[in-house]
Amino acid sequence: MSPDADREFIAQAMPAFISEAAEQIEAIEVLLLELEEQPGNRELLDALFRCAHTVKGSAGIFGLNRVVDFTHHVETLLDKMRDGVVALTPAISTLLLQCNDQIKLLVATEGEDADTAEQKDQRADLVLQLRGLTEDDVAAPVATTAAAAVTDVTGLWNISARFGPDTFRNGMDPLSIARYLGGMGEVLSVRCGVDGVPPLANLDPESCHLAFFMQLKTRASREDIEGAFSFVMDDCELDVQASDTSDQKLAYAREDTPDPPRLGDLLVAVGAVSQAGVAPEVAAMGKQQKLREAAPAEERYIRVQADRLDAVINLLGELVIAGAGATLLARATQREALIEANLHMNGLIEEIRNGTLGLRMVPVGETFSRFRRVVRDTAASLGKEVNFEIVGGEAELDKSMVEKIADPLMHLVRNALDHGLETPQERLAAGKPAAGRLTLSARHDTGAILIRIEDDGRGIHRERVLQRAWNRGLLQVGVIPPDDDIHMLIFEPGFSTAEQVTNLSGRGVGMDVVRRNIEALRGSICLNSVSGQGLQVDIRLPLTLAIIDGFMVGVGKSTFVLPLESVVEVIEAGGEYVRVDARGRHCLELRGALLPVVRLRTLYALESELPQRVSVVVVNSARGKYGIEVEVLLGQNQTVIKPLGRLFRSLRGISGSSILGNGEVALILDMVSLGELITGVVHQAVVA
Amino acid sequence: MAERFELPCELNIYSAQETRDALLAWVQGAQGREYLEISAREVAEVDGAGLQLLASLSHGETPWRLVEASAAFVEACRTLGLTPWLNTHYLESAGGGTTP
Repeated sequence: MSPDADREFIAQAMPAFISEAAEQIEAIEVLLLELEEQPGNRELLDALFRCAHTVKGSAGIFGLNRVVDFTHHVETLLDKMRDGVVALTPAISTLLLQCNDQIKLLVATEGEDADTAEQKDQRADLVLQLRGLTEDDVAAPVATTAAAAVTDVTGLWNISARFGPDTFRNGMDPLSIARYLGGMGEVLSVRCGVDGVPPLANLDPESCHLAFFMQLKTRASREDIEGAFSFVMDDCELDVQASDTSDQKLAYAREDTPDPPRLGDLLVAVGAVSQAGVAPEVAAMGKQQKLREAAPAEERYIRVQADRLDAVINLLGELVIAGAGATLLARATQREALIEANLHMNGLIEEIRNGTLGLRMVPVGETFSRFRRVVRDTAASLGKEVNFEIVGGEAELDKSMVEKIADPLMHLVRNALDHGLETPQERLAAGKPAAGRLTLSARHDTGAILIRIEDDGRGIHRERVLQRAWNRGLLQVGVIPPDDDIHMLIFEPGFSTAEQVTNLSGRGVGMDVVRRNIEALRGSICLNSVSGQGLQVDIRLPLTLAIIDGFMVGVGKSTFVLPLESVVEVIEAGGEYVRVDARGRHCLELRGALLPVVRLRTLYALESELPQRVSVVVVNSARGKYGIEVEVLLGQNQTVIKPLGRLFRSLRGISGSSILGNGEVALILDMVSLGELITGVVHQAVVA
Repeated sequence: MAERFELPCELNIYSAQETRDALLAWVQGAQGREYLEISAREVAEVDGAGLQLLASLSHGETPWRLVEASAAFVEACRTLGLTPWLNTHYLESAGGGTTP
């Protein structure tokens, strides 16, 4: 390709590289944290190395030299760890995490030409630390420049590569690879293997049958050489062998082998030696290792731009509405075949809807695992010990939801660490183990997802919360609400009980925002605190924001939609059966128990005659069961949720709107706030 | 039938199928010759797929030789270790193309 075409290609592929690199970097962090817990886990270490190697390899293709240079040092350290020469200590783990942050920064700022002196210093410092670990036979060189990315040893390498048939079709070219290798050092000899190429008559010119054998003199490492092949690795038979020896490295590796050496250690140590190159057996080991690396489940994904998927989902919303419209028209014709055909079509639309929404579902664990780092760093900075556990990370949730829930969750996790868990001394004094427990769990629960953050800390201090609420005027002095309500006070704006305001939490600006964010997602939050024993925060969220199964009801000329999952039963007992109790609330006797009933006609001042027969839909909400008095039952339909305009945001009891098949607008009732309306004081104010 | 086969300016994967078909047709028409003569004078862009066509030609019945080559072509052959093709014995002076 011409240089112009190259540039164009790179510019086009860059966003994909950046997003892939971001994933790799995230994976590195997760792996590092997992490795901290299982330091001996070879698979984790291998996976870690692969991630770092992939970042370096692809950065190299894009000419991101700063990333390549820096990641090279990280890779060297990881390689030493794989070889068993360096063991993972908490200090090394911290260093690697810092390095990962650095790589992230480098990738993110790669478009910018030069970095600041401060960034350079920071990077040089990390490189020095890395080199101190990997080259400890040499005294840590203080004056060495950080940029030196190659080892000091010049090696002679025999490279044999036999390319797979799909090489050209995958956009790769043995010629470019040979050229790239040539740039790494001096090519002593190169020979193209053409034996596998069929005669012209039988040749598929887009299949690759080439091989080459190269003798290369370079200061680059085996990883660098193999890196040149990283994009053809899948179907390329590659053999990189060193053809000279370095006695010094051999001696060094032998010294570092534990005494008495175990066979495995010895082999690995010999493996280390092979990098400078000695024994032919090592090549076989390298191959085995490569096989092992290739083995982990290769999941097949297609990367799709999120906005394309959103566009499909929007269209699908329109399709659902159009489908409902068609059904209405079909019913009006009273032609059975047409109605039948429509029903069938709607069944298919529903399946497509489920399938498409499923595409947006991602395991919530990805977000959870981000917290490992936060928990680790936060606990360390607070001087607390904590065992962090993630349960049920595979539960799936809409991607947009996952993104929006991350911040509130982060806040709650920090809060649990900061305010919930005690210091080890306090814990021991209270008869608990020194290390606190923090569990983040997720599970599906009747059409919603339940995320629970549980700690075994001190719980909510009831008296202190009460006192604070009185002081702040959140409650009338002397009024003592039920315990559950007291706990919920911490979500009131401007509430904070932290004795010491830390830089993590405790400014009292967070918890009310947390609740607001969760409620904006049509979710609810609920606390369960046992003083001295811990706090459990339950967050319930709907699985998706786009479409719900709705239950349509009519009052007067208006149509309302209830989320179907909240409907318990429908009874025919409205109208005159609904009584008004002493506090002015409507209620109904249902199987011997009193059921509060909300009368939509009164609540929203709808103009309608009270018909003879009315129904009460019994619904379940976080606030308990209650009834909604309606006049017409219109049945179940798929409801595409449209947000309410700004003017109507303040409407209590309504969460959104939906356009019906006949073009009319239906309001979607919000079970939680409607429940609050009829059980709370607010009701009195709203109802005229 | 042309005396020699002129490789296209773009000797790469994009034109590989086309070039292969043209080359095959030309080879079939040139049966009975002692040598097939290939010119890479016009080649400006070349990749592995392009070179593979010539490698494939080497496995045919009639030997071939390069009579002229552009700098880009020569560089590519050197990089990939196909220097035997560039053997000066075969390469005639510019404007060559004489039948042996």
